[in-house]
Amino acid sequence: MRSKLADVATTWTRPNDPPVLILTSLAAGNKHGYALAQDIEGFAGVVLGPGTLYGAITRLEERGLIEPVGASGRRRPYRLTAAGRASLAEALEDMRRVTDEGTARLRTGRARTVEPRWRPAGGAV
Amino acid sequence: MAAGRGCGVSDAHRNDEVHRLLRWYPKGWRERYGDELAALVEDTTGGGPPPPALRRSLAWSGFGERLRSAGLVGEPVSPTGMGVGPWLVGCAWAAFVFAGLVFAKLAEHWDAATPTGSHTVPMVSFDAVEALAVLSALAIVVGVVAALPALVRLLAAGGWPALRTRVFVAIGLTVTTGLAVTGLALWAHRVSVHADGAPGGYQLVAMGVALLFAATLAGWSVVGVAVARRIELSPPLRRLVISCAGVVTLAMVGMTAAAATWWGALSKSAPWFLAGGRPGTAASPFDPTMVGTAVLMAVATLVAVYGTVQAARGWRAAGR
Repeated sequence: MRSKLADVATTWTRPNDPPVLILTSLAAGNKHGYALAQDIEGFAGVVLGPGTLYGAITRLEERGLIEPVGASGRRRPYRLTAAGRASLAEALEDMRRVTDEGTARLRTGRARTVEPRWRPAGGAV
Repeated sequence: MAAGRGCGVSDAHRNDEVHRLLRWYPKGWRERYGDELAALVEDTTGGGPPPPALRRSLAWSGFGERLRSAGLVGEPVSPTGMGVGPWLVGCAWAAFVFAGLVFAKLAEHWDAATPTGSHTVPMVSFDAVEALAVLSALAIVVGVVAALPALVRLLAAGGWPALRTRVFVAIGLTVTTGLAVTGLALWAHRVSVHADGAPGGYQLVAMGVALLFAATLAGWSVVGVAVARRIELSPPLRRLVISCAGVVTLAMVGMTAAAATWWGALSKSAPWFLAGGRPGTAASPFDPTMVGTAVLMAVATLVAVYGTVQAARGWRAAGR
């Protein structure tokens, strides 16, 4: 059975995906919905509408990657969980590999020799 | 953190407006996130009325949450439950049966109306449709019988109140559709006797009845989804139900292909039959009823394929 983390890591490949943006924003501290939207617009230039933002928050909370802080309220902040932190690190690492590879190819005009990142289940390649 | 208020709109009116927008979302979701989303909308709009783009965005997101909460998109709702995939296949099969009945009526006496030398392809494809129809019906019966004890357990455990409203709506739609079909059939008899071609009013009513039929299917689909989300099956039974869904889907794919082959063969050898004309006369093979039937078959088959994929994903997610 695949872990939630593995599902997330193979799903998020773009830096502009709302879950990545939300986790990145929460990595700098707890925030509620409006503060998240403002922060994300500030560091990524991406405007997340309320529907999109809360759709992503719902998925992230379902997967245990973020959690609300304090009692329920109209402007309840969220924070990263340990799983969320690990998940973000994994997603960023994947993006970094692509970034590094793209940068190297632009510089040299050919592919580098890299270890395959994903292997089929069972270990056979 | 909140932006400024104003725009001359009262708080009560503004709250009403935002909460109306939240009705796009399912109840459970609203109870958990509704207040937070309302606060975010108020902060985003600075207390003013939500602009059309924001309304559309919320409607779209809310509809998506409804599909997700029904288990129709996204990850399976429950790793141990039956999931809605097999039920989707059942609903698609019901729609396919309707298309199949129309197809059977259209194809009635085709062999007597077509040249003897061009019987082989349409005969093989027509026989294939019939054989696969029997196979799919058997698979449906096996799947329903396998899921029945779980439904009885659900009802015995007090599950009826959660289903009651949906069931009554579906029954109401079924009765209304039955009455409408009966009325239409009586009218159709008079039209065929006294009129040369159906009048516009008749066609409008027929379209209304078709919509009612679709609403009835949708009503029972809602009941089925509600049941499917609540019942739990043992792994062997779940595997059996999912296998039945797969068999039904494959049969539907086969029937659609066979019906298309029959249509193609008849279009080539006896297009007048499809248009209801005299043998040997020139006619278009694209009879509107046949086209509609083929489209319904294809759509139902696609829904069944989607349902089977959902079921397989649910099975895999459960780690079986």
